[in-house]
Amino acid sequence: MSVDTPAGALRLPPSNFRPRRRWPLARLALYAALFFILVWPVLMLVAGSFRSAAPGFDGAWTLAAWTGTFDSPGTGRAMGNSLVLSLVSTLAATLIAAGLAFLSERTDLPLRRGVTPCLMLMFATPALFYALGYAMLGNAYTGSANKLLQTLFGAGAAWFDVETWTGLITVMVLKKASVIYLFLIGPFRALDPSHNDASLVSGVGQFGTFLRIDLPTLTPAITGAILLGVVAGLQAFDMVLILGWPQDIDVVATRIMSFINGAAPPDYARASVLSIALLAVVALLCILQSRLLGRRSFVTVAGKSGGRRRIRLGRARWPLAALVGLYLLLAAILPTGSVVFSSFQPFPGIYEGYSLQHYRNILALPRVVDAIQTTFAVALLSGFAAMALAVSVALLARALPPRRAALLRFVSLIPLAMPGVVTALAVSWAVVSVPGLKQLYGSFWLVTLALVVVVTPFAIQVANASVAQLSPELQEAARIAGASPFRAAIDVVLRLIAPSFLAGWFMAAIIVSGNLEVPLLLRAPGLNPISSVVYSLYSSGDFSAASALLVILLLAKAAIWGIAWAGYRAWVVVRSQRRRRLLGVLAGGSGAPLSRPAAASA
Amino acid sequence: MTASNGSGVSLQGLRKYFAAGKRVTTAPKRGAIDGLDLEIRDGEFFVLLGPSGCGKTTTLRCIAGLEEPSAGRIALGGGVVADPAAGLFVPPEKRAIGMVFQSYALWPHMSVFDNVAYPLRHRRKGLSREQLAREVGAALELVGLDGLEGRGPAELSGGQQQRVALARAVVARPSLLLFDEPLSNLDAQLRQRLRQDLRRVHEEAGGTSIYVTHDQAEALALADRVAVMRLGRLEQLGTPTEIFLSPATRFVAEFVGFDNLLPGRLTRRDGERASFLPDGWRREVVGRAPAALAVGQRGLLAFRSANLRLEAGVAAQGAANAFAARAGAIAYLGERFQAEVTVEGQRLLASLPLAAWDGRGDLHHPPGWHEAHVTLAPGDAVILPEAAAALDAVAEAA
Repeated sequence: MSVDTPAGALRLPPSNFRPRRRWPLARLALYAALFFILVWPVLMLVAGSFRSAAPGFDGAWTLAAWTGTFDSPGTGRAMGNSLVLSLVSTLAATLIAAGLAFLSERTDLPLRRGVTPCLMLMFATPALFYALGYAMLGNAYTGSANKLLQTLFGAGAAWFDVETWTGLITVMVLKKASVIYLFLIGPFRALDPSHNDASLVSGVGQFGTFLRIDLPTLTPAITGAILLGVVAGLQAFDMVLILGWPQDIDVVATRIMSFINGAAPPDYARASVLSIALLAVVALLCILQSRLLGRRSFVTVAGKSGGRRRIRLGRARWPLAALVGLYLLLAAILPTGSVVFSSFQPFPGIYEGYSLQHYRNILALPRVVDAIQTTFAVALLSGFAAMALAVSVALLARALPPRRAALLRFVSLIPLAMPGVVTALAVSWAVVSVPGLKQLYGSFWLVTLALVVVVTPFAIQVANASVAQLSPELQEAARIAGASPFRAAIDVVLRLIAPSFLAGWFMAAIIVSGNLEVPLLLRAPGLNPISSVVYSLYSSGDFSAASALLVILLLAKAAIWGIAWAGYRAWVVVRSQRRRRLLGVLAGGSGAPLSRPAAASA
Repeated sequence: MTASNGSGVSLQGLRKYFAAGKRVTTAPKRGAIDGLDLEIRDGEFFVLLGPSGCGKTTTLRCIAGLEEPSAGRIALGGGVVADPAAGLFVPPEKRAIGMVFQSYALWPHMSVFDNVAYPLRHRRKGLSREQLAREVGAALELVGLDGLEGRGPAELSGGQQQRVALARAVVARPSLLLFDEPLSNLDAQLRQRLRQDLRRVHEEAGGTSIYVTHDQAEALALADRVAVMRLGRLEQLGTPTEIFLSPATRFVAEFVGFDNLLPGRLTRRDGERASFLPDGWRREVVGRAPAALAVGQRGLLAFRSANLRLEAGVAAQGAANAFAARAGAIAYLGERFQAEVTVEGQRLLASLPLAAWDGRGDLHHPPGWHEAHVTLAPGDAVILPEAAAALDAVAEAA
């Protein structure tokens, strides 16, 4: 083997090659970041419950909060409320969702293809928007639906009032049905048609087959969806805040906030104790759910849905379609319409003089312009950070032995059990516990950090799904070809997951921009994203201005979506053109392969 | 350039364990390696053969550096690349290897040209644009695929993708080529053609090749030497002829298609030639026996149904290895018929040349074969030691 290797064979590595480092720096940094973002806040939340002062202030260690929190009648009532709200709304929503999933996936219902897109849209609409829409629709005095019914059928008492227990639960059911539907639709779609055929051949009718074959097969999925609904119900915040306040309806999440925002001085220790209690219950339910659902978590659209036979509804087709239409009207069209409508009204309850006045007014407010900028910055930044973290975790998990990978995934799902209020609180404790980071408290970066934690579980799902589609051999082939692990990740993995990374980033940004709890609880001075401005406009009675701002937020999201989509299409077109041009050049010069154009290596 | 000790591969006491999940178990896990010693010579085409889960792919991945061995030493061309005891591990990008993956692993976002140029850009930095184009062109020409440089992998057929993967593996002229069941996703005809191309590329590239497969026909066609693996260990090592004609254990015999196995006892020995009395038989069978097996010891007689010939009529008096037989159902295998026969009260599989019967009548109830006999050439019968057979039974029960 000569030292100055010509363009011949490669030299083999010398026998005294340096040993591989056991802990590469990048991996260590990722572990540290994950620990600080996901584990440390929970630990500090627990520690904080034993402190007598607010985060960052001198205090003493004390057990006072642990003994005092659960005695107060308000806390007990809030816990009871949370439980009732969560259970009732989940059961009703599951019934609706299962019915919708059955109708849209297994029957020949007219318009069935429109159901899934509609419910996806509802799923993506922030709860804040939803709650506001209903408030403007069904307020006892000024609600437009009430007014309309009164006009049609004669004036009298209000037909309904959405700002009550019944109203709150109804609205939650309508919204939650869309979430549970998206969980159920995958399993409904993945049902094996041959199982059905076997039952039909055995002489059991269509509906009998559904009851005896399909439903038992779906039991784990439905149970899992119910548990998920209960978890989400226990974490309910925005809707209760907006629809429940006139009746002083308190749940655990709002109670945690009122310990901090509603008390003087703020009682961080009690808020922490209540947070831990909520966290413990929710974590238990989450573990139970993952046991039941196994690996099939989140919206998985799997299985072949090809040419399966659908159940013929016969004469029930159109009545059932009308029923589905009614649900969509109630749950999607009316709330959206009422927000848009009231943004043009001079004031709720006044049905003349429609104008763009509110838009002009709020856009003239400096704090609204600030809010729009803040929202964009926070949403884009935290969405990007969460996706970057999630992709690193997904890639790392693949390189680890199964048990450590499972631990890593579990850790990354911790925030799933934390409502935004708890996350905000825990992150506050975490940041002040680290010397040098204290300055972050009350800043833009603290809000961003908390929102990264909030959106991480979602980002992890997106990242896992897209990384799972990449065969590890693609990366290994790059290593064999002489690329370092880092280089292989850039050349192969990042390039291939870029589209899903962008989609995940965008969706994470949307989720973040609708988050109300974190900015409300962290109350960073001078830092108000759109969601908290909408809330403060609403709670000060300026309903129409709040609506106008929500519409602007929605339009902005649609615009970004459109730009991103157009950009992606343009890129695809340019790429295929480039490839075609290249092919043309190569075909022209195919006789002389050595004079290959430079374009080929570009 | 490739020196005389150039690109041999040496595995010493190679072990690879996988975490066994929740429970700790002593049983070997699928794909684990349990103490493997191999010396692969420079320039050799070496095949690792075995059923799925025997550890052959894990062995290949350890040589590539895609898996870290748990114990043992791996040396490529005299340089140690993995020695966990010494804390030494050379990552794959620092080993002079090329590899063809089972799924081809072509990068879908790169053109054929870019896929093939990739190893050159990383392994042989500083090539001019013209040199790069020339090397890529030469590699594509070697695999018979020039003129498709601008295509994307998705626009190629399976066989073309396979060739691109091969070009990418050889383009940087590695001294060691690794193949992980590269032909298993192709149809039979294409597989045969590519097999010949692989062997030709190996000759022209001039390095060492290690090839993993579970297909004995592939091993036979490609290999200079074959290692049969089982449960993470080496079961038998030899040339294709040695493996296919003289399996050393029951496992290898069954794996390479010895479908008649009869337990019994060695009764007489004359050099390699030996007489063997299967249990319950009245006459002995003559076959080949390894030196280790002594007269009186129990053993296992193994032969292929293709070598047990069924013939009509009564056997000639005193003919060696000829036994009266009754024919049962007959199946048409394409190049011959296979017949179920009863010999000495035992059911065996025998074969019938196509010329011996016109196939008329009922295949499952053939006419006129009740008076028949079978013959077996002594060279086609192998007598295996029973110790191995007993071990096999244990392994199968586990």
